[in-house]
Amino acid sequence: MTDAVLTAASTQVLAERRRFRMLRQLAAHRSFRIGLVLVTILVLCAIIGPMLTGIDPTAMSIRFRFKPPSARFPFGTDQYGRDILTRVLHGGRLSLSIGFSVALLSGIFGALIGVAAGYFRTLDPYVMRSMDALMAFPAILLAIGIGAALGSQASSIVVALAVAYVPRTARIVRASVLVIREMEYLQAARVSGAGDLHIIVKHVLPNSLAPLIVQLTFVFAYAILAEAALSFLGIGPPPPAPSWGNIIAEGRDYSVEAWWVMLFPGLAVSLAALGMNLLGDGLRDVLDPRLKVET
Amino acid sequence: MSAPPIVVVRDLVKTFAVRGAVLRAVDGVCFDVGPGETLGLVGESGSGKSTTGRILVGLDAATSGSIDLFGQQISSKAGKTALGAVRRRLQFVFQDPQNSLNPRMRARDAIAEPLDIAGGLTRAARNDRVRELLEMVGLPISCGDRFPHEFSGGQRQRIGIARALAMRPEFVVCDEPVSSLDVSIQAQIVNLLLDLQERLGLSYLFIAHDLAVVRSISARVAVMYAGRIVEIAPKRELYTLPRHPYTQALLAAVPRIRPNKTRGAAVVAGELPSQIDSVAGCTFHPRCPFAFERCRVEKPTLRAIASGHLAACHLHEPPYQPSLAS
Amino acid sequence: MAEQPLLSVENLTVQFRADAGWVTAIDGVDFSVRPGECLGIVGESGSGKSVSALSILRLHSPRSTRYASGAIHYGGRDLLTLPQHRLRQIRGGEIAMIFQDPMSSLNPVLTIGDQVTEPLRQHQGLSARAARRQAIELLDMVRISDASRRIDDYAHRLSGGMRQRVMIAIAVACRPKLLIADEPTTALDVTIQSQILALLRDLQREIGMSVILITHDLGVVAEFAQRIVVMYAGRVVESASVAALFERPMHPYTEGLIQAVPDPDRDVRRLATIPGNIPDPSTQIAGCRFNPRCRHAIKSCLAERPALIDAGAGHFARCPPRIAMGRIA
Repeated sequence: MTDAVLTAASTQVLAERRRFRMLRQLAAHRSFRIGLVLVTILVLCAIIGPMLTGIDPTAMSIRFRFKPPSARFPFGTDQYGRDILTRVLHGGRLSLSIGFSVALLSGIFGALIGVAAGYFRTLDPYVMRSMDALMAFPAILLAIGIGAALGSQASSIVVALAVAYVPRTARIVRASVLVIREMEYLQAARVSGAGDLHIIVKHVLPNSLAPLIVQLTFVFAYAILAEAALSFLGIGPPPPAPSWGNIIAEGRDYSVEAWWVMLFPGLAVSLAALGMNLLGDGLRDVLDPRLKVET
Repeated sequence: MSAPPIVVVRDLVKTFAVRGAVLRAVDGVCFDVGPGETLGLVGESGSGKSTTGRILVGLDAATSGSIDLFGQQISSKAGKTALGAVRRRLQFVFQDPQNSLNPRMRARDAIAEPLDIAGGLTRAARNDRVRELLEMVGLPISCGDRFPHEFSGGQRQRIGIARALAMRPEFVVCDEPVSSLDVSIQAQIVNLLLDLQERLGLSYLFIAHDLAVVRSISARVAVMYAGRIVEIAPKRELYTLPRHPYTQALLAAVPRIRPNKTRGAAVVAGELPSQIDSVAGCTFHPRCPFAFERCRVEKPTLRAIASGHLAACHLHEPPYQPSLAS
Repeated sequence: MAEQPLLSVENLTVQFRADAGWVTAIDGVDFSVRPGECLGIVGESGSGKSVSALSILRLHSPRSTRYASGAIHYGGRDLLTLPQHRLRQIRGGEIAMIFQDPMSSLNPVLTIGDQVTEPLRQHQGLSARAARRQAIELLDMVRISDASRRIDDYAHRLSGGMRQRVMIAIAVACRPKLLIADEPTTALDVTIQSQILALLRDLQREIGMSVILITHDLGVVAEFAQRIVVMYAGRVVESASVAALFERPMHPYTEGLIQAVPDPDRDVRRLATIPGNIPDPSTQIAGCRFNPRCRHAIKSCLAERPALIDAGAGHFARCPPRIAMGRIA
């Protein structure tokens, strides 16, 4: 049994080195770290922030209209005297949850559609041509159309953006599925009598998730930017409930006199999108080094 | 053969439509495998050996022909091979240790997968069986928790073999199981397969391109070229007295450490033609040093030229009845 | 009479950048090849044979590779310190290389002719027409039928064996002094392999070039090479003439490897094996890197890195206990 003994010793050595390699690589990746910090700060602010300031975001006060940033109002006030800092924090909750929901929805449906197209080859042409048709519309226009049809609430934005981004996620999943279905471990399951459902759940999906997750971080970033744009255009969560987009929209008319009204939510949107992009870059480089861009 | 064969293949054909032309990957293959026996299936790329193996376990559907497994006719209905109850008694060992294991599954889950698919075992019984299988293939029990990337190629191949044995099959198709392994590891895995055969009474269809490896494990060997079996014989006879010119060329081409004084020095010219269909007569004749007129027009059939030794070549006039009876 | 070697690698250590520092791929490797000679470098995966070959022409990525020690002597210069422009003159001109995978080694968007004429135009400054004429001759030389027509084909129309011939044509276009062949036939069928090896043998004689043949296949080196270097886990463990190596292997690894190769002409009950696994390059092993798998390991094998010892008649082995035994017997 010399083979077995020697085998044990060598697997021990291999295992210790590689087990946490991915986590270590992520921790060492500069973009990932920066992105993680940014996103964590923003999420924490969104969750805890509103409770800290204690101010009602919709509380109007004529006395404090158009106050520039000061100790009392760190981000200044808008035309109704509302504290911008509080509004940005509350808006963060809404905007970030919209981003998250869009990513989640487009991820789930993208996965379902991608698997259907990639695994069941007869469905592939029909599914992918429909996706192509959707992709032919610029995402914002599509979102405007759907949003207008569904009415101005946060949920209609989520649905609209999810529909706009599903072709992207479906495409990514389909690409993975096409590679995985040729893998021998899948055929091994078939030889043992596995049905399609078992194979999809146990083999196809777990191995397609990595590129999908990377894509979802980017979708999150796009969604936040898109929500800002849509609110700016008047479609989206209606005032007085703040979202980063509609704060910017309301500050539009006063962009010269009260620049702080647009600046701070704008910064928040940029930082959120940047953070998610950096996070996604890190994940992509670690999970699929072949896509790495040499710096 | 005393006991009835467990695998009987007759006139197996598999065609693919490739860019308008029809590719006959498997073109009328016939062979038997007895219980506890190893039939080696040897050929180069394009010979159809892997496709044959895959059809036997249902990974590909035959275009025509009959397959009898354990006395039961396997039906090929509308392009799908239905194995039915026979499925549990056959298994497959894959070539590539990289791709044959799901990178996200631990070794113990990969090995137990056939058990999980079939169902009906308690958790304890399942775990016991996994432990038993790990021991059988020479891996320590602690390996069960590890992921494929933590193992070497040879170890992954052992896991693949353990998985194949989970449901106690009687017949295992091994498709180039050692071709991707280093030489020193190849020997370990070949010995493991031999040990398992003795211990469990398995039959193997051992598919490979390496003649030397095939000799070390097979009892009988079949040589394939361009989708057909050109020669089939007991191991010693095939290697010492090959009758078909292709078999001779193949044996001569193997580079040897210990020079074989009996083999010819001729290097066979040419390559397997891309359009096999366009070759009339014997598919090998363009490369055959002994080709004559009949070879250019008539396709030779597999005929018995000695007891248990069949060859498809016009050079050998059949002294026996033209049937497969051996 | 010892002839001056054409190329000599001396104490070469190459390291690659990994997540946690540098990993040593080859450690103190020595070998040399004389003019007109064929040297075989044999090893399994992780042995460092390909790394050694790629180092000769400095083909490793400079950002992630470090030549920690050693020199590669060629034509009175050290190739490791040669400036880029001089190295480029040598690559393809005096030292050429062919690789393993015929499917990916040719550029799919250029014709065969474009690729064969490239070294001719670059190193010999030939005009397009002259280069094309010579390219057709080269394709003939590598036994591609109907060369004047095939020269305008694209790679995808050729089989693996033919692509390898084209690769060889590109490599020998400028009549190099040394051809490095990295597993040139591993991906080919055995009947095609014997054709390609025969071709290489004939070309070697015709052009008078030296060949370094890297392979894992002992049978191939036995038939093709005059001298063999055996590598294991980044080190040279044995070096000898072909006859001496197979008749009296001195290193336990070489011995084990030779025994583990299945023989197509003999029946055995079980194959001889080398127990254990090949170590990962990043694994630290004290002393001799083969000791965990060696049936004859003694205490000194675990303590110090064994030296490559001359056992006489050009036969070197990195196993002091064995050589000592050999001398007594």
